Amino acid sequence: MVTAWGAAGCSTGSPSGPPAPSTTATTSPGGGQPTGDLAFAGLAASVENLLIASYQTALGAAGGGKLGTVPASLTTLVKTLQSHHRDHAAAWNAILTAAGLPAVTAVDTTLQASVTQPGLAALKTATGLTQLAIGLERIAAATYLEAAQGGLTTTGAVQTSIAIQPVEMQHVAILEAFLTATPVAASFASTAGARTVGDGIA
Amino acid sequence: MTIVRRRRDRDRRALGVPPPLLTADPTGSDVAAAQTAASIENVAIALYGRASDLVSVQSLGSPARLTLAALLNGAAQHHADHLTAFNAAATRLGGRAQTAPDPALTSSVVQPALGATTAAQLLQVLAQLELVAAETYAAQVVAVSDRQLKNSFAAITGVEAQHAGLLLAAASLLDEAKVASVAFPWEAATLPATAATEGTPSAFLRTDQARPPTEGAAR
Repeated sequence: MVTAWGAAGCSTGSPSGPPAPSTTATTSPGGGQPTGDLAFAGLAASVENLLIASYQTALGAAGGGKLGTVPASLTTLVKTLQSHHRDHAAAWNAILTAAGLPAVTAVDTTLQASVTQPGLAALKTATGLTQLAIGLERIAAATYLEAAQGGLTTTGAVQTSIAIQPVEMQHVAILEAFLTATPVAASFASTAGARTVGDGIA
Repeated sequence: MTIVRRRRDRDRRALGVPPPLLTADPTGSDVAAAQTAASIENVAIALYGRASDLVSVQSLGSPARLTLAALLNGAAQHHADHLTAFNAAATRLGGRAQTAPDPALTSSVVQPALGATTAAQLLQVLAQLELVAAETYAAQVVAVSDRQLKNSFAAITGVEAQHAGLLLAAASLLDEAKVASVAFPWEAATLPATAATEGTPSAFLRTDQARPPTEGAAR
């Protein structure tokens, strides 16, 4: 779960950002924690924040020589993926701030505890870095697919999800190209491992 | 306006019920969207079926030629599965399966692909087709009413984006005369620093290249 709503201060989106969202998602009665699509926006921002932070840790390990030889093609790619995730986080936070809520700067701590902390602790090679990144990108893609297929109710939120999900899928394929002869194995995307709209904010 | 809708409005008037505002019949629009998607897949299947045999690909040495052949054949199989899904939706919603290609893509995609003089050019055109498909399907996720069709569009757009990414990366390597680097899995140590990033150029998938949802409707 995300542990706190961070202060506003998200960066501006990229010039080629998603279409301006038109969401009328709600907060809970009495002005408590957001619900519905706004809750998902917070979750999504926290997942993106986790990917950003995890890639930063991995790049630091690579730069510090802790992963052996890490080719420039891989570190350059990871930096690009990280920059995309910054844009994704900004897009979700734009939805939140437009609704009068603070931007989320925290990370998804459930995912952090279950995937990135153990994954980063065990990281020893460039191959391990690639595999960890694939796992994270798959979770992100699955999360957006599940949301777009039924978890979200407003057009803006669905549009934002469906503008991001294919990019996470692309990340998976390009990372897989470092490891396998068949980087795109499936005809249809999967929701396996998705973080769901039902997950609230702690 | 369909015959069914004219009769329905006539009956409503007879009952003193005002006809509804003139809006597109959601099921009819969904049928057209499914058929248009099927017509795009028909273009992809036909083109990928010929791409491996084109001189521009055949002239590459192996393993690049073998890698591209596998990539193209794999994509063709995915598109066959997508075609099945879209035509199943079209018939389930009361329309008929679309077996024809999207005619609007003949001049913008098919002809340039078949006329490509290099493998890099061919891959770039194929990547463009994949992007058109991905954007069209992304646009339809929020446009169609049928839940199952919506879910199909959502589950397929990302796969087309994956195809586009790999084609763009491979095209970039061929453009840089790094033919030997095309083979999957990539040899990371010899890959140019920016080669992989060529396969994921944008943070967001837009929809400005989406085809109109009725363009490939069965006539």
